[in-house]
Amino acid sequence: MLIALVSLLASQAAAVPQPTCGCAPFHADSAAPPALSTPDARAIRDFTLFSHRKLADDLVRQDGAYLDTLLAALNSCPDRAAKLHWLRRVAADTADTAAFAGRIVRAHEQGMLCPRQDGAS
Amino acid sequence: MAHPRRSLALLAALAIGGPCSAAEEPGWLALMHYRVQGSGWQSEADRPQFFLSKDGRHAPQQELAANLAAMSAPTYACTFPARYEWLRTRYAPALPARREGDCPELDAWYRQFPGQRVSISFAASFLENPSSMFGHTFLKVYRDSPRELMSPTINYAARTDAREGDLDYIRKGLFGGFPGVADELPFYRRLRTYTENEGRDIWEYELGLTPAEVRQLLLHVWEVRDGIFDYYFLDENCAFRTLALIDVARPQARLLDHYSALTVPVETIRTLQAAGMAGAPILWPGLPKLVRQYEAQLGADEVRQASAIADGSLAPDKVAQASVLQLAYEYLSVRITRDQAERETRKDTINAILRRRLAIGSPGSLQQAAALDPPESGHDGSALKLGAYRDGARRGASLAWAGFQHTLTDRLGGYEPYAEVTVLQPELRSDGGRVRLERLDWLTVQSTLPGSALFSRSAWRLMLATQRKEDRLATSLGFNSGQAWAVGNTVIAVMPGAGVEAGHATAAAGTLAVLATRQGSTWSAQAEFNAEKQFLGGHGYRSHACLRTSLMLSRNTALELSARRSIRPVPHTEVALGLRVHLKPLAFAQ
Repeated sequence: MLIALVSLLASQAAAVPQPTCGCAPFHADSAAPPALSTPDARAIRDFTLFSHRKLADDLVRQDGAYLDTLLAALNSCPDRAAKLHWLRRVAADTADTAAFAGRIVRAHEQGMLCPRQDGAS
Repeated sequence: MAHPRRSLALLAALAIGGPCSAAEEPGWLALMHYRVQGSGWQSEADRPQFFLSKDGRHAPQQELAANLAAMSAPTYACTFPARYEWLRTRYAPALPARREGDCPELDAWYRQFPGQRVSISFAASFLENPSSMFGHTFLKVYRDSPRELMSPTINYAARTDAREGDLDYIRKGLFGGFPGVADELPFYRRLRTYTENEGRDIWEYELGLTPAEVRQLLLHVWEVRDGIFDYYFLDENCAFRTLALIDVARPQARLLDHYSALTVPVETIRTLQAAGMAGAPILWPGLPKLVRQYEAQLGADEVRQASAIADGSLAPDKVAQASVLQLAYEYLSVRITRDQAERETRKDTINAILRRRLAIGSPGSLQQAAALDPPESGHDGSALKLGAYRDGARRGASLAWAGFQHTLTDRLGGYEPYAEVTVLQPELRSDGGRVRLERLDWLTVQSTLPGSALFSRSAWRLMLATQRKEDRLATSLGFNSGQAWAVGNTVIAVMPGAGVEAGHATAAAGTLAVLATRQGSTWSAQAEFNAEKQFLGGHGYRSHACLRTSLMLSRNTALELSARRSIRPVPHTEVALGLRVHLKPLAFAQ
């Protein structure tokens, strides 16, 4: 059973295109539910669920410990400005905390690609 | 080279028959939590599984021998990894260091702590919960910066049962019965609990521990994290246990030497600073306090706008001023945090404010005020007061001591404004050659937080005291609840209430307390009026007015002058002059 689970996770991981940061298209908003296959993803989900309002405030100010923490956790993209831009869009677009956390976690689960530089998501 | 197991058996035999010095090394005593008890030792650990020898709780030497004999067993290093490291380094270097994979459960737990830096956080006092009245401390383990909010914490607390009755809660809290447990929630969860839900400031201090010391601390947490100690609110509480963990990391600092009957959390911060182990503090402000600071930076019209936005009566889209939106957002955050119903009904409002703020693109200009005095800069907890008084023709001397006291006329620095706590304060008076107990304040807790355009005026007082009334001692319990207003530097509180009294007669009474207080760092003053009308068990009426002022001479010393006029039932006036000295709270050098 363990081997089957590992195989499944491995096949899922292989299916996710690995980011080549700064240029990969951003698919974070696809309809697929978050798999939360990694402790990192769970940690990010819990953090965003618990800290939505504080994160949003930091996003408005473009500064703050909550924002720094999330940007560091979304570590597959080194482009801070691009991540910040995308997170501001997510904060403005999402209606509630669960949706906000869900989109961020999906982005991370799918390899946290750096968003396209034109800002489209 | 001898086989390690044979060497250990030899060492164990030597430990039993040899001098005590090895077993009385600070490192071993700290790991086993031995404290001097009479002419011997006693460990504070309350569970037998913590010891390997029959008399281990009282016999460091036998316990050392038993551990030396057992440490080559495969499970020893997994159960007692800090002990194993300490013993191995000292007595059995031939034994292998514990490797990744040897102890899967421990390894999985330890992986939560990727950092090697540790801070201690002090959550300021919280009057609404008796067990948090003196503050709370916990540790955080992080990699590079204290701003890493997902960093795990180590929080030691009592595992209580929600079904526990109030009396059982107090009994077990004071005399043992709640197991003490440590959890590792991330720091942002602590921020949510303390700064948002409870509105408390958190002061965080980095500890100057080496990576090896941090590792030893963490491994020891594993050994004691699940109920090894009973939790006691007064002495073996969160702050003491947290300090004891640091003591294991650096036993030579002897951090626990001056603790015995009562551990006030802020004292542990002072101890760490005195040992040169705590750095400069970082402040994480309580959310309501931050909103009050923001409110003070705006005009009345702007505050009204922010309030209307939060209430949902003004659409955020109609407002262009970023600072108004900033205040509305934070203010609504306070309301949402405190009230589940608000969370449901105001969800759309706060999201609308957020979208408007993002659209405007300016965060607003409201700033957190500069940090005030950190808690460790406040006066010490206990108080000794020596005074002289004149009451009509009578003159005499008074002596009062308080187990813990911070009043509204004490030096404010380092303490929460508008808050007063007194625990166990007897006052003796001497006149005409006789000494008598004048009063015994068991507990006084008072909060006179003034209202503002955004916050309601909330003032309350709980008092349990035995006092001399009409020359007889009577014990009364009273609770007052009302409102407080700020008028310049002065806070006026009006608090109606009720109380019961037992002494020469048993009576219930309606009461009224009116206070006007000016709190400052160099002088404070207070005018107080109290009235009491008995309506059950008696028909008496009592009232008195009091003026008192304090002039701070130093951090711990103040000169106090007071005048008290009893109006009913027997008019008389008392004038008193005293010197109050704050002392370390019930701390005795051992």
